[in-house]
Amino acid sequence: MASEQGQTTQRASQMIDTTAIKQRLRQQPGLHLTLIGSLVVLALPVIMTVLMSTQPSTQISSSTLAGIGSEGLSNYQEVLFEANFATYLVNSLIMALAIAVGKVGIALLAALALVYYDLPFKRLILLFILFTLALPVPVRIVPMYEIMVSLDWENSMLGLVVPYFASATSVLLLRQHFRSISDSMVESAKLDGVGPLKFLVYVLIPMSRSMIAGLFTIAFIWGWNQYLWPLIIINDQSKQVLQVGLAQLNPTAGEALWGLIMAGAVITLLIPMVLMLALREPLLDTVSMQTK
Amino acid sequence: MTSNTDAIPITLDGIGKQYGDVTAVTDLDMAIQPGEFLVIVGPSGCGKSTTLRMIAGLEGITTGELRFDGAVMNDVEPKDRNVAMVFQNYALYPHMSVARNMSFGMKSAGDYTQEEIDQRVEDAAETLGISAYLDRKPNQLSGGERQRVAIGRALVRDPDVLLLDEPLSNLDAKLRVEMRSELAALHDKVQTTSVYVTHDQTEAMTLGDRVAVLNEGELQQIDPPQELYDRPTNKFVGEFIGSPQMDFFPVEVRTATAQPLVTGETGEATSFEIALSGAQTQQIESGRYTLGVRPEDLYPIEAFDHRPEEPITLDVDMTEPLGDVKLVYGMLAGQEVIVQVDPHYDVEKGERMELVADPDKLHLFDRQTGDCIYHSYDVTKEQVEQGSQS
Repeated sequence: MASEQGQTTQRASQMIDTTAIKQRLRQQPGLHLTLIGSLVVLALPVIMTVLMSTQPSTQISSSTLAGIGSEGLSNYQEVLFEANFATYLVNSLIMALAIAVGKVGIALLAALALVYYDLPFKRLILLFILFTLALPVPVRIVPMYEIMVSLDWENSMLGLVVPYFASATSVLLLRQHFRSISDSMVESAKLDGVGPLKFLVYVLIPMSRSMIAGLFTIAFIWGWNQYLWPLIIINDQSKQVLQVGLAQLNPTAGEALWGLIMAGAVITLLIPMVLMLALREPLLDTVSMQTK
Repeated sequence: MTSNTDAIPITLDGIGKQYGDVTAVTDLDMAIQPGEFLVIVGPSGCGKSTTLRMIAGLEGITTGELRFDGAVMNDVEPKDRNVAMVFQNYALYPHMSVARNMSFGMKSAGDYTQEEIDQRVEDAAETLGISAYLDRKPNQLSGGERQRVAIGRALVRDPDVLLLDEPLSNLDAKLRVEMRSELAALHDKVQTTSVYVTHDQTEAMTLGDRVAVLNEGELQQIDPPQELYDRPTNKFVGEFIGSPQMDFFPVEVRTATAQPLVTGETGEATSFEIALSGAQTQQIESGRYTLGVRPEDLYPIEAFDHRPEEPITLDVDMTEPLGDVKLVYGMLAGQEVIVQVDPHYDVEKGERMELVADPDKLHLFDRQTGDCIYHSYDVTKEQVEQGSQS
């Protein structure tokens, strides 16, 4: 019943919102025109990509772009089934999900330890974790590859995702969030005999829901967009991911088949877009917290 | 919730707390009786919260021994002490309903059946008048209701010791007064040994069976509220308890006469003189002291039948009519003096008042140590206790 009530109030507030937006539009037309203008500029490449993905490849390079083309279906069919994108899609999905879950999971445990446990040299540990930010993937790609080879994880999903499980940014953000939760919560739990893991599951995670959703989205998209590491660690076409497959659509010799490439790009865009639309509210919360 | 027949005593034996080089609490001795409501009061940073947290087990004890019903608790985990705590900010879990908030600790402890938990939550909710809110989330409740839930959460587990850390500080003034009397009634009902920390001396006076005054980590006095008010053991307690606070005058005492004579050191040629009376006067030696008089024990000379040797003269700087009384402010010998007079007493800023102190309500403090060496109030402690009981 409470949720029903919540939905009605939400609907009501949305209705109020539209009138409020109209009012604001009238009050600050300049600001809103600028915003709409920049929105068009930002969306244009995406719209172009969608349009181009429906054109026959030859037409794109020869003529100006005009509306939806005739080869929409065939372009997508070819990319999905002949260029192996269906497989890449599944692989990318598994990879991005694993990276996001791993990142958030480890960050939760690390932040729990950093905030609620009496560790010696806590600040030093945090500093050390933050220091890893100074070593992005390209810098450590060779030693990372060597480790994967020695673990025999080369050309496997494990080798693809495990190196990305630790995330200094997620740890830091969750730590800051946990620190904003009143100490008396954990003290009350201590007096009640609630153990640390129970506290994490029943108190911290529910209280950090939007933060976790935001971090998950960021980690997912970040994982989804990996290119260099999959290119190096995966040799097998059946284990490859979308971003690498997309690059492979561009032939090394001869004319680029732009219709196909654009169809591949649209497929690559699809899942992150759905995720962002679904989780836009917690994502915005997290981003605004980051900039605070 | 039935009254707790097996309330336990708590003993603090030379308890001390050290944070590195900083001493938070020094050598604290307290014997809290079974079922007693003890209030610890003091200015911020006096170590009162630290003391409470040491009893709860949230802070380690550096020196001394803490005993619950004779058993040493120093190294016992908080969850095994069977204490419950009510926090200033309520510490309710925002994502849980009121009922779940109250039962969460019990469920985690795992010592209770679901039926038992439901029954206890229901009982506690009824006692506190929050039965209607059990399905709500904390953010749908007012501050007073939230604090009731927090108290309910503490009570459901039937703790041996109930600890309250400034539980009313986040409430507005009107609600605070209401909750204060509710808390007192609740304690009468459950009779759990309770320790209540506050910086508010009114709360301390109204709630406590006894009140412990702490300053800079040291216990100043632990006594029933009226005793604290009538016979502060030192200048700090005299100043801290009572509002508006006690007035102090630098004085010189001469014991050559039959009755010791107090002369004010006001820097003026003619200063006030008061003769001391009572049994305790034999203990006073000649010398310089601080005289303490409460604002309500100072009267305009024409409104009091006792004639002092020389009245206190005060130049009025400010008056504050409060409706029920009027406060008159002035400076004497570099110290602010507050006088509480009848609200209709006619006095204006810039006028000079002649004052007389109630000779039965005088306190003399040692200038160096601040210790009280004399109360003219002659009623013994035993008589006070008898009076409060009848």
